[in-house]
Amino acid sequence: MLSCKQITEKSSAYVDGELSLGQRLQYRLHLMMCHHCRTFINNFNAVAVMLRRAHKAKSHDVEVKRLCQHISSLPRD
Amino acid sequence: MSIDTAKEAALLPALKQQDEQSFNQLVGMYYGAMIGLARSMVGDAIADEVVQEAWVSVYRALPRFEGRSSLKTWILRITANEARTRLRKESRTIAVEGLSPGGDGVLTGRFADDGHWTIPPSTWHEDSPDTLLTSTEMRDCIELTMGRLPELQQAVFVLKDLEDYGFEEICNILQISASNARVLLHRARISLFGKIEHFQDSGEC
Repeated sequence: MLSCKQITEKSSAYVDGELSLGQRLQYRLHLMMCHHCRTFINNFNAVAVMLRRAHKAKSHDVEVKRLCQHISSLPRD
Repeated sequence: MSIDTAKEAALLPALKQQDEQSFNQLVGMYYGAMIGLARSMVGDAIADEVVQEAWVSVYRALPRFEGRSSLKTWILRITANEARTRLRKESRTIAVEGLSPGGDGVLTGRFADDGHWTIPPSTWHEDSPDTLLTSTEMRDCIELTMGRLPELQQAVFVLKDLEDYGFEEICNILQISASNARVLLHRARISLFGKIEHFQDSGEC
């Protein structure tokens, strides 16, 4: 039986799909029985989603344009 | 074939001839990933310069690109190398942190001896990531926290969770072992989790 502490330690392996079938079943069994750990894993998952949204929302148009101008000013080999 | 791979394949012949228009398209496709990686390794102040240097190297090396990895992986590897070179010049180095115990930092002290929660996680006010992110303070706080993570933790997190790379490619780009990459990623995620939880509970960063 996994402890709550172990659930947090293995959370990356779990969300990245790196646990064996047996380990995954044990993990899910614990989640079914423990609402604290369900809350933990939901929040843990939300972190990457949030950061990805914030990351993708950024526009780099100005920098890209400037960089292209710089490259085109370079002497050709 | 992913969209990026298809676009790369279409652009490659012209890129190898150093065709400027195709190159500009390439810059548009991967600038975001490169600046994200560069910032994670050298910080905001000099990331722009690192990316600029990296693009110059990419431009010069393109005719010799052999296609052993995807173009994007190759470009990010050049970026990571450029970042390291820059750090060396400034006599800074990136430490591959030792895999010291107690890596789950922010969660230390939240469990009883039997491994049960003593300070359980709080339910976040808004459980949808979209709603959570609407607060500017929260966004700023996340950026600040990201910026404070040790360099390689940031780099692995950026590549895995923001750019969707697999561990094999991450190891190729950053030249670290797969087991190190996994430990660094987990630490980064736990730190970010802890910070967001703290923000949710206290409204402060």
